[in-house]
Amino acid sequence: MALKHAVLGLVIERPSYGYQLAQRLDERFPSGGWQKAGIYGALDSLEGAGLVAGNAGRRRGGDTGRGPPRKVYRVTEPGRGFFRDWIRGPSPFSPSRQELDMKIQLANPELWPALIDQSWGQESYCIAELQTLTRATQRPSSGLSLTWAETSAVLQRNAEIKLLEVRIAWLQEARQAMKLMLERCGRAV
Amino acid sequence: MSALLSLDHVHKSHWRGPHENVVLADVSLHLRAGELVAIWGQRGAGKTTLARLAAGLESPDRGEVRFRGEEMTRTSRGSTPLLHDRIGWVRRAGPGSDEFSNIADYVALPLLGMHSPRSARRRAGAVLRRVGVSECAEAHWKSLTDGQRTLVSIAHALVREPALLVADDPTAYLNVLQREEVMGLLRSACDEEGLGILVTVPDMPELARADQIGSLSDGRLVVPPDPEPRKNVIDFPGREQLG
Repeated sequence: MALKHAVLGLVIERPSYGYQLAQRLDERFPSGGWQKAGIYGALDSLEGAGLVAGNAGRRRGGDTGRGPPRKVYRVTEPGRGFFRDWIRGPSPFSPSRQELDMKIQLANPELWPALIDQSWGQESYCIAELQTLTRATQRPSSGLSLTWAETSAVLQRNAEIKLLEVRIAWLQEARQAMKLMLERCGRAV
Repeated sequence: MSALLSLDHVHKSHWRGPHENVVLADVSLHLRAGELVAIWGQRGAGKTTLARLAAGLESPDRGEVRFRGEEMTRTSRGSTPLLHDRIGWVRRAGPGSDEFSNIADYVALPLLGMHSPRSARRRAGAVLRRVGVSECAEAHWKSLTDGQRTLVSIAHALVREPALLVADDPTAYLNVLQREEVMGLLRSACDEEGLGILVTVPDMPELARADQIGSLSDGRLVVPPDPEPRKNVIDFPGREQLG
């Protein structure tokens, strides 16, 4: 997941100055871990590709203030198309930073059906990972009293499985929420 | 080897007045003798409905449920179907009344009519030993711990020596060690006695002992693509291929 997708999504939501975008990025993705300086690089890159347009806005401190005028960034039509393609594109599973979560945050309801499909895809991936994990772990003996060595192996296995369980449960909840919201809007999923 | 239990394109809805709640939508699942299949799902995902259909305690609206190749008898709405004599249903609710003087009598109950009371009680004692709770034979249900109740429920379902055991959420209320032990017991019943077992679980670690796993959500069963990428179908390789 690139920072530029998040910045582009926020610009689509509302034209903003770079500084405002940095603040909104922090609010929306607090665990994103992005550097503020990186946002200006992302904006330059988006502007260079014609996906956003930066228009001169007011100077810092008002019209009489010093310094160069701040740029207000707005999305362009190619930028909207680029963002839609990203939302509809695959969302690889990454334990540290979830692209799908960001898409769910930023996508308009018209794009939710694609994200509902992606949630099924990611759930299938997690179930396959779970199967790989359970087949790789040694099965304790079938006796009714476990040794501590067996118990500690079970605890370690459970720690890894629980991470996947949390993810799958969240995917199901997010999917359910999107479907319910679409039903309320009278849209067919 | 043909399937012991097959669910093919099963649909099931529950109705509340005019509102349809689709519980299972085109669910397919095949289980063979000696295999343990575990299905995980959150509350309300349809685990109990899936288990009851597999045990023949409910009929599907569409699709087929077959046990040893024969379609389960369809029952009319409102009537109570009889449990097939080769299917064990783990009923955690216990005896439901105080009419049983002790646990050995309760576990012996499914054998009455087929065996003399003495023989039934002897077999009940053996199965209680098998699951590790022989000390409960003379006790009353109310005095048992949650772990003992689960094991007694499994004994009650095993006493008729079923070919298929269906257990809906048998690890509820148990601590981590008890959950592991219950799943270990089910695993050994598959391995040593060739039983086919379908179990539903609310916690994913309980999937670890299974030959095949699935996740139930929105009426769909998500299963790993292994061994073959098929949508909504659990199909199993022979035991020898599982390594």
